[in-house]
Amino acid sequence: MNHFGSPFNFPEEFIAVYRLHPLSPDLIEYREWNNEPNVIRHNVPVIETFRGKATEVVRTTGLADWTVSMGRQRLGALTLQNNPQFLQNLKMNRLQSPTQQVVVAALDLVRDRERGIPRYNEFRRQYGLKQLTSFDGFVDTRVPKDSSVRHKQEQLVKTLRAVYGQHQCNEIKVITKAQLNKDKMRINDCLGHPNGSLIDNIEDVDTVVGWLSEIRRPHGFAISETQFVVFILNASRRLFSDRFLPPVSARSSIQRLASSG
Amino acid sequence: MKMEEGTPNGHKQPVSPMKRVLLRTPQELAEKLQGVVCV
Repeated sequence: MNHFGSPFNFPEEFIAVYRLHPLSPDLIEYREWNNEPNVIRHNVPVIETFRGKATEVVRTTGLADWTVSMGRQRLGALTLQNNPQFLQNLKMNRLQSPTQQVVVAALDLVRDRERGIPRYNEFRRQYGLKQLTSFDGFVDTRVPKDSSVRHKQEQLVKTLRAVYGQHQCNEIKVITKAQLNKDKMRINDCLGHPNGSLIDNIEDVDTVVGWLSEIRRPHGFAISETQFVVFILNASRRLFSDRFLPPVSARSSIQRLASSG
Repeated sequence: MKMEEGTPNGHKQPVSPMKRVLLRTPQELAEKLQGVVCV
């Protein structure tokens, strides 16, 4: 199966933009469907309703209450520093480590790195999007400079700088084949800054961290621009290339099933 | 296909898949789900 030059599969970048753990809350606001559903009765930790515990919780309290509770609660925002706490020290009994716990946010990064997902800036260039030249590029410049929102954004940039660091750039180093500069010259380590100057290690930012840092979004968007383009491309592609969805005729459908893995 | 009553957004509108599941399983929510329509 070959569509548009690629064999059918889920491309890894689709998985990278599907890392949506910040959407999950730590607590679910429990409501009763038939007893003033506008009132939150109590908060239920997600961790108490997890894995094997889910069936028991649903059986004892009823699916209707959960439907109303979860239908009424808002998602967490897809931003940095918003991963639920229960995923930051998640018990995994099969692990042979002393704590038997994992940080799911870290796992998200490690898996993308292992699978060869380009880091954020190169990921964007390969997708035909604009690169960033420093962490300041994440700040939404439309927000007034003296506002607390802007201050928070700048604080986030400082944190990124502290984590990923800076280096003295060297314009001899060509860093990508994906795009060229406006003057048709190859993009180099300095990203337009003067040679030898101290620049942000923007090329080191992990893909997930990068798109979670995209503060400026199109109006009404829950997801970032980077995610959006990947979703748009892959949502239609996975339907088009899905061998279990009926294509032209039933016969060709059977042939496709018989001749492909 | 199960359709919503009338033309909620100017067109005939199928009942959304999630709503169909909810109408089947926690059936007591049927009344609350009446207003949950794609518009």
